[in-house]
Amino acid sequence: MVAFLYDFELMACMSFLIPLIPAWIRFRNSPGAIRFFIIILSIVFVFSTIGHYTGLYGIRNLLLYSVLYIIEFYLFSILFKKLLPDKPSSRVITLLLVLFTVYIMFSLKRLLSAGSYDSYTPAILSLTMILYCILFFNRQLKMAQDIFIYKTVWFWIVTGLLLYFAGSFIIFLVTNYFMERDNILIRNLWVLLQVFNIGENLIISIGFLFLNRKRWSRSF
Amino acid sequence: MEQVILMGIGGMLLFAIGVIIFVLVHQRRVMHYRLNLQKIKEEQQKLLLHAAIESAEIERRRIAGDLHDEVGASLSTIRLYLMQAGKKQNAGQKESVTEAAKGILDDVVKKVRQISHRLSPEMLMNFGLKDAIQNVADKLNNSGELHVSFQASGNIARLQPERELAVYRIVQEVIGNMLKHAAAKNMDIHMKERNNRMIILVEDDGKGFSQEQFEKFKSLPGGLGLKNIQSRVDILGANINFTSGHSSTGTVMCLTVPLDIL
Repeated sequence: MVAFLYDFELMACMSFLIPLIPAWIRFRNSPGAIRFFIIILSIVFVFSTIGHYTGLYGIRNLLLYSVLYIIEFYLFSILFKKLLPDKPSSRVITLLLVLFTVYIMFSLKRLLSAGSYDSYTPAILSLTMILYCILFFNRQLKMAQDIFIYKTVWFWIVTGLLLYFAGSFIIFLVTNYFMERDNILIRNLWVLLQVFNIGENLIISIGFLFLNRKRWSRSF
Repeated sequence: MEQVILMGIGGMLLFAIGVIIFVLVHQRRVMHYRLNLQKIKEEQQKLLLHAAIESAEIERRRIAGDLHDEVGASLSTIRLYLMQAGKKQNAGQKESVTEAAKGILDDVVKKVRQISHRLSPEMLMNFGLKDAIQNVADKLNNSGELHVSFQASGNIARLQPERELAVYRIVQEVIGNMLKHAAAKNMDIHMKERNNRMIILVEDDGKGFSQEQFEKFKSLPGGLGLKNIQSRVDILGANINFTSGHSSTGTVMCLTVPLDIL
């Protein structure tokens, strides 16, 4: 079962390359938000790969994941601040950033202890990301667009993110509780998480692989 | 417990899929609505363009007719008189023929002036909209068919010549329509400036003409005058509105022209 989990984890790590390769080839010169997203995706890929191999060789890597979730939160918040420049959305993002910073400051000691895995931080990250994605779609509906939304790269990126974080939220929420109680359940849920990860990367890659490079800039 | 968690995950996924489907369907609907609206606007633009071309052609034909019937015929007569004068031996006869030719020539000058005035009203070019509309009101009063009162509040700024001409033509067309169709006895014209806008109100006590009728008639194949009004209103970035008068029988036309457009 453990080997199976690692295989799945490796597949999930490598699945980042499906959107990343076409993104770097086709969109590397795109200005602003799209390039920023590619950088975030690359950082997540590097962290996940390091996390996978350190885990494979028995090195404790829980701290690595804790750092990744914190970085992810800040980077995605900056990204969505770029995508949602309207005042209400901007205020919501700023407020969440402040609240998250306060949360991090209070739980820093626990997060930095390499021995414990903190699944509440990714659960908060997932919930925040779901909110950002909904705010993004809400803005898209309000904006006067002259092309169908599914013809934009951002639709596929945000759809991938929304599905992944919606799927992973409950998993992260219960992980801390079941970690010491039901190891099999956690492993199963972890496999499911990797499936969501692969699904997310496949959906994002639709935008990077098939859509016109000029399309993305119609909205941003 | 595992089932509860799986149900939770499924619920969250369903929620996410629901959001995505809603966004797709809603945006598709909005896009279709917008495309249809654009099509209707394009059709209207085509109609207006067609009306403008047709109207210019009618104007050209009218000018050609005026020149041919009034000026051309008079000039031919003058030529004939002058030829006759050349043939006359008697100085007295020569003078009388030349005098007659001079009289016709004066007429021709008057007619050319009239044609020129119709093309580009002198009063408008020299003194602006206020005096030009006042002049229209005076002429209507002098005709004795209609009592027209004209009132202008405050200073009325001068616009660019082509914008002034467009406003003047709109007012002329509206007054013309009221004379032709409304069977009115009294007409009030009021001009004022407010909030960087010029407002012109024309009210009569005739049969009445509503905004719905304006919208309906201007989209009919005929209705060239109304199409021209709309076309000029669009060019000016102005707004025109027709409502029933105070006695619910007449018509009030309100034309609002922005003054800050360069």
